[in-house]
Amino acid sequence: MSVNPTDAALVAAARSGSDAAFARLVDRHQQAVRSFMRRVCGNEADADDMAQEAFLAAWTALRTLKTDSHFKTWLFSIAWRKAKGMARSAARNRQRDQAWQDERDQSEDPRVEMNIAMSQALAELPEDQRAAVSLCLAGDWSHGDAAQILEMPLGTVKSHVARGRARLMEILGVADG
Amino acid sequence: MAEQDPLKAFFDAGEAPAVDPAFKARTMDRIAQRRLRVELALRFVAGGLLVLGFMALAPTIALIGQGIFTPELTPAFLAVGLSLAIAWTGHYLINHSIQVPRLRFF
Repeated sequence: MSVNPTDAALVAAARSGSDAAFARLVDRHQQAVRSFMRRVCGNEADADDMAQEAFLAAWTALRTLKTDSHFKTWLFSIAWRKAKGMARSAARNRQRDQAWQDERDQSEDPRVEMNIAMSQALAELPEDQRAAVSLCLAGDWSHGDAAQILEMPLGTVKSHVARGRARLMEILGVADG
Repeated sequence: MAEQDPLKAFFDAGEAPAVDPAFKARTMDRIAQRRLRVELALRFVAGGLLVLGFMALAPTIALIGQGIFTPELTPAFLAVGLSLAIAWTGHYLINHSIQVPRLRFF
């Protein structure tokens, strides 16, 4: 195998039984998948657990991946399906955490307060919107690829991204547009 | 665009680490556990099917055996068996290995 094989080459090797090839795929995509899961799920530990589940599901279903399909897009679609249920329960947990947040000392670093406010705003977005924002604004995915991953119409993704971005910019106190 | 910078900075701050050997190790460990469970289950099923197969075929095999293993044919079977044993021994001495079929599901 070459020094920097393509995803397609690694997938082919993994299909033949190479654990080393699949481990390289994990290495290559773990940051993106985990970051996406953290933004969608809101809880770091749960997000990492779900990310492992996504890689495990991808390994199990590797034979179903079409040869002309993009591995990273397919992996993210699996990750999104794993994250959906977790995202709903995370919303319920946030209602409990909000009471604690309200009692915190107000003399914190303004930048920390801003980050917390941004995180809360992101967490309060509907899960579909949060996922679209996480992919397109944070992950630099195109709207088309995000629509494929989230299994939504392209127009819906664009709308979600615009609304999510507007909400976050509002928190930042920056005019959007 | 300039207004994208604070947003991008917020997202960049929440990124997972670029390199995390511990995460990779935990993931590959879970894969190994899944593979082991599946292979054990498949071998259990295969073994059960073999047992059922032999049980179904036992009366037929016994009938055939009674017809084949007559005193007149015993020297022939001994010769064939001895030849196979010599051939296998010779293969081992030359190659220093005895290859058996490997069950591979993944």
